[in-house]
Amino acid sequence: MSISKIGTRTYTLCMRELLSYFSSPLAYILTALFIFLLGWNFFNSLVLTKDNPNIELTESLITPIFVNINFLFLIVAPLLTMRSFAEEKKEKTLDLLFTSCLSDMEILLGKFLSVLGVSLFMISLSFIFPFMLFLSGYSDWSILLTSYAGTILNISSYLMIGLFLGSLTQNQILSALLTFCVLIFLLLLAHSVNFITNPYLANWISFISIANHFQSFSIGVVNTSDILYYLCTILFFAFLTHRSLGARKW
Amino acid sequence: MQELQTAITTENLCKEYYGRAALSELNLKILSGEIHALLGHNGAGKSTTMKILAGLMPQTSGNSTILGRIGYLPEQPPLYLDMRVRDFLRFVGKIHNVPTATLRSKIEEVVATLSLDKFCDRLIGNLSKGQRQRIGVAMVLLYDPQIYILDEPTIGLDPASLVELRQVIKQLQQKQKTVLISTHQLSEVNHLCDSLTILQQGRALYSGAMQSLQEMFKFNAPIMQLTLREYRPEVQKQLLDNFKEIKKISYHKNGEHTEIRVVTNIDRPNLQDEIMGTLMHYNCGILSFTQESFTLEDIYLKMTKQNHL
Repeated sequence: MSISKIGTRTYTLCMRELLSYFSSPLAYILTALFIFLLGWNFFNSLVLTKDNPNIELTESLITPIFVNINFLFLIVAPLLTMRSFAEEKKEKTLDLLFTSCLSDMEILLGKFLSVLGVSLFMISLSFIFPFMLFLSGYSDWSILLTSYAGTILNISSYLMIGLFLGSLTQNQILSALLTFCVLIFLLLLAHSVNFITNPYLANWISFISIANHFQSFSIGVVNTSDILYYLCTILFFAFLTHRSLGARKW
Repeated sequence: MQELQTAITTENLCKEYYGRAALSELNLKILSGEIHALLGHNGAGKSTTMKILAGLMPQTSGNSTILGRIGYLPEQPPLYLDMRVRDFLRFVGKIHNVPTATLRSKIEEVVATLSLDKFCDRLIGNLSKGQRQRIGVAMVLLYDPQIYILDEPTIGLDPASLVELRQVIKQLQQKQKTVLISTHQLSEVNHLCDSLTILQQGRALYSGAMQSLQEMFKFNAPIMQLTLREYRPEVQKQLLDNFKEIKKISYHKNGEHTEIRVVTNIDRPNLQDEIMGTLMHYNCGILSFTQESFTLEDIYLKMTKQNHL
């Protein structure tokens, strides 16, 4: 099978999905809410920074932007991914893809790239805030770069988890709720470490929690173990989704 | 003459849902270039068979072999309601590897064949059920598979579209394509199909050529028309007394002869021979004998009723 054909088919599916997102009000409503909340938070931070001139801009303004993006995506990711498989299962349009030349991996990749595309579009709107700071003389680009890289990796994990859970059901609301619960669980796992006396287990749970892996990116440090964590999470849930799609053959 | 290849074969195909058998040991043999119908009540196992053949559902046991690429149209056509018809067909062509160079002409061809031009630039979500059904058929025609599996493609079609679809399916046969179709419209089966399988509760009551099925029932039709030289009331009484299977006898004088019409419920073989034997015994003088042949509808209803559990 030629790679160009695989690429063309995946691209075709991805574009269809993207057009579908942008032809429905969901993407616009989510984007509007997302940027409004982000802007409102940025404005509050700006007022606080103005009152405390000794505080660093990175700490007071840049880090909160990315913390907020990652937090908001706990809600946005389930809402974006609930359509991908759950809606198609309900409408029975997934059969069209299954009986086409698309492999399960191409379907998964096409769906993933499309939700990632919508997410990147939303994240790209946040460029306005660093740009405003740049106009005021802020120039620590490395922190911005690593923070955006960390955010994309973190959100990619959220999306892949959402795709997997969406592939298990044909109920969109259930898909969104399940994804939200799993993401919150993975986030809160970090807090349970305080109650565990076994250091080995505590370390292990701390590593599993999605909460602890973005911190290094937000201070401009690229940690290999964090990148590996995100990649492993994405690949693990991609594998599970692939198996879930293949369940029709069992 | 060239021997026809088998396009679809199933051997003891079984499917169970939570312990309930949806298909039991289904054996099909559909030749290449043949139009084969799956008949049966709702829940007889038609869609299950088609889904298994299309690779959308695993069988519990048994085998199925398909020689050639499949074009599957489910009962509810899988259409993206937020797309325009032409964009949707382009999308379908691309994911089925239709070469870009020919895709445009192919789309125009199916649009013309199924008269989609009037609503080609409209959103699929705004179209009627019949129009969506036609898009579903167009979608399958677009990538030109060797084997067509069409699950109730005539649902929601107006009479004109029905005739159009019938012509399309006939043309497919001329191109040596194999068509497996499920429908509740027995007239369609009569017009189109070379062979059929009658399913009931997952079991095949009959699978084979249409002609063979009609042959099977040829000498077992429920209505006999006879012209007799002589017919007396006591003969009628004898017939009604001797044969419980006779539902009604009507007669009228036609010149010197009498024409009688015997309606039976044919519960056993050789009934007609025995009735004729009785008439001959009473020296009625049988001048002519004809029987009304069964329609496919009669045969279908009879077979499914007889085997109703």
